[in-house]
Amino acid sequence: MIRVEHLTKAFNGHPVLQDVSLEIHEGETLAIIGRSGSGKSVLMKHIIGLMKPDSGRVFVDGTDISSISYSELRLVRRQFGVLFQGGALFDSMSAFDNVAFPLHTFTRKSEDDIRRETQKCLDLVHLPHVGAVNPSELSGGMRKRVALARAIALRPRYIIYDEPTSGLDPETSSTINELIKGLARQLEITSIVVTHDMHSVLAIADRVAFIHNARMHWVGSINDLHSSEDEVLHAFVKANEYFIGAAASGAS
Amino acid sequence: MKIPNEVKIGIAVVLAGTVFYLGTRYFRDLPILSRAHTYYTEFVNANGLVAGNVVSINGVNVGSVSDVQLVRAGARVAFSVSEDVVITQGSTAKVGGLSFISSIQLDIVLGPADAPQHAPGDFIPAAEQVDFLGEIAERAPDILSRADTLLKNTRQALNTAETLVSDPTSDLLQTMSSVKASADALHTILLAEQRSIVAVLSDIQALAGAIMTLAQDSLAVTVDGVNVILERMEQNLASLETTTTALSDLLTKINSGQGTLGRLVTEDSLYTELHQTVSALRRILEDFEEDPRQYLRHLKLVEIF
Amino acid sequence: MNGVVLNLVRPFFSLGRFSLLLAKACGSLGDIGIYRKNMVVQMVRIGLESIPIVALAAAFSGAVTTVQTAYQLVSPIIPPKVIGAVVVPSLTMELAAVVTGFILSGRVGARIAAELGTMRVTEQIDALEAMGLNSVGYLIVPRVAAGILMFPVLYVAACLIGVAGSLLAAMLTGVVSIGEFILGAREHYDNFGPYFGLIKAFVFGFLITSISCYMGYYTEGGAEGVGRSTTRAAVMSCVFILVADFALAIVLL
Ligand SMILES: Nc1ncnc2c1ncn2[C@@H]1O[C@H](COP(=O)(O)OP(=O)(O)OP(=O)(O)O)[C@@H](O)[C@H]1O
Ligand SMILES: [Mg+2]
Repeated sequence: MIRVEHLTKAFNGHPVLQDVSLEIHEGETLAIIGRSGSGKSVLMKHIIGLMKPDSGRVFVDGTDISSISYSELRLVRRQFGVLFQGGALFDSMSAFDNVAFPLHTFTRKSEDDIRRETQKCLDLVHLPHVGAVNPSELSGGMRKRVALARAIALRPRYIIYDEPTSGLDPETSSTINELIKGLARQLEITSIVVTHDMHSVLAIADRVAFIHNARMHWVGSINDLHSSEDEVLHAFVKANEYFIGAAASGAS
Repeated sequence: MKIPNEVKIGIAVVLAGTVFYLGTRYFRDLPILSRAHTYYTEFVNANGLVAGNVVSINGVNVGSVSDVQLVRAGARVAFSVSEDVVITQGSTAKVGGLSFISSIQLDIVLGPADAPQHAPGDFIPAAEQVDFLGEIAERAPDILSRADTLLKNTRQALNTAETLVSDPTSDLLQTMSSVKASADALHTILLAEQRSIVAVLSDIQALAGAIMTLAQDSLAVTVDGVNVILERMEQNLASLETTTTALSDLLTKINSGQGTLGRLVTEDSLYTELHQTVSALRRILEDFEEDPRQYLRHLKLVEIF
Repeated sequence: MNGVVLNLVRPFFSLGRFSLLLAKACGSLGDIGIYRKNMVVQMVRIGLESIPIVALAAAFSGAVTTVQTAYQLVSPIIPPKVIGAVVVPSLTMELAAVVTGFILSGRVGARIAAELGTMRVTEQIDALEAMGLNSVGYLIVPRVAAGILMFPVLYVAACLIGVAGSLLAAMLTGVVSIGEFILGAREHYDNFGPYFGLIKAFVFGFLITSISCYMGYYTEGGAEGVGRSTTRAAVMSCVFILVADFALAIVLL
């Protein structure tokens, strides 16, 4: 279980997150939504301790990660898989080596096992043949999927996806959504999905957290989302749903 | 076949280590492959011997000085010599060479060939240091200070002459071009010390050589030889003094108006006199232009032998 | 006013952050597993791949020093062997280390800063950290260690090739015979010289790699930031090589 308490963060005097509290339950899939620049990625970086809060605390399984030592923090981080917004693939390695990297680094598996598992991860993201290619030669969407394969390679307890479907075609998007849903169900992974793709939210999320004006504006289940009277949330969801609806009517 | 990176790095490191080891040994005059033995000696006066100086036996480089340390009774010197060089009992060590002319070195004079061998780490006694030139060194400052003043006066006189000659408002300029040439030449000699240094040095080297050969046989003869040289120096100084005085007189005359332009132009004798004086000066200075203090230093060096 | 104070504090801030980074690097020295493989790669890149350019620079330094020394000392009373006595210590004590340092500030320093800077701005360093890997141990330790270990090797290569260059120049211009050159070098050989050069090489290797790693690791602001870090890494490495060169001469000579 992850708990964020009264987290406040400012960059150069400009507040990005103010008094943000949030709880992520074991095994659920939580979608964090909000406008571009609202601080979703910053919140996600706080959860794995890449950024230190100006005030407030982050608990992972009951430990306050801002007060533990670096080596303890690293142990906590090993339970996470993170898909960064830009993929963050190591461009000194091939796509295959990127996915194999955590396996090489953190497991004592044989070369053969690692190769097999890496291939399996690449198959999962529908990229079975890109192993030998360098990240710089991949398209943006492919890069994101290789990064996703890398994030799940170690079968972590928590996975954080920063905009997993942005920049992907609808078909691949829904494959990724299925994948996230499948992983969550099969492996009982707790997932945090940072996104502004409402389609994705509706497809995979159990609960939704909406960041607006640097604050946690609204948190609730998918069902509450529709019945909510909150105008700002409505506006945000509507803008998206219009798009989803248009896409749906276009398809029919 | 692809060579693994580890192997490449290993080869590079081993090569670098080998080059460093052999290179330093090479420049230290140590045998490149055989080992070196260290010996010790002590001098009352190390005469500027430093680590890195050559160790030589019969003029052959066999090793290098590795350390020179100040001790109560003088200087303790450690030196290493190629292991295949045999140093017999009864060998002695001494500081050789002239540090001004070339590098100084540590000379080992071997003992009898049939004597037992010195073990590595042994103490090799220093050869007795003879102080027969102390007397010269004592006399030298006297002569030198005289030479110093004299040379100063000469320079002054020459400078005056030159100012006079090169003054653009002076009429002398046109008429005394030949005098000026002489004075210029003199000045050049004063400035360009090199040639005379060569002369002086070869003198000293000859002296040192003479003393070296003589030192073995007879002390008295050597001192005599040195005395002759010193007397010659004194004579030189005396004639320099006379000449300078003459020049000064002449210049005083010119300055005070006794030597007017007319007189200079008409009277051949004055011109001739000036010319001769300057030529004489030049001759002496060519012989003796070196800063007199150098003499003292050379004499001290001579003491080494 | 605020700007002035900020500028005054900045060097201390940088020094402090630099020291902390080094402390963190030292702290991860025990974790050999995470940097061993990287270190070999870096040793090849920083060390072996630099040999050609270092050799070129050293050869020319040696040749130029020889010709210039000959030019400046030409005189009937100075024996030509003095050229050897001047050139060899110049190379071993100063030129081999400093010229190598300058060249590698550009070649190695800029490269390290650009690599790490890019990794920082594309979140690759964050990705390493997020996996639970010590990014300092993984990225910085192997580079600095490779610098410290390989610089002395490059220094020895520079000395060897520098002396070879001097001998070649002596031979081609005929200013001094090889025999006399060597004789002079041996007569005035200083035992400490090569060790002094070696110490310099260690220090320069450390300075170039650690400064460049620092600049790259703390890059901010996208591609422009990477460019800034790269330039700064090369410039700062050169500046600190000069400072360290002077400081070592004062402390050790
Ligand atoms: N390292 C940083 N230094 C300074 N400002 C930062 C930093 N990281 C983020 N910010 C600022 O914080 C704000 C929120 O950034 P963040 O990346 O969290 O947005 P986001 O919600 O993820 O947007 P998007 O949906 O476009 O990814 C932005 O205004 C950004 O400029
Ligand atoms: Mg973001």
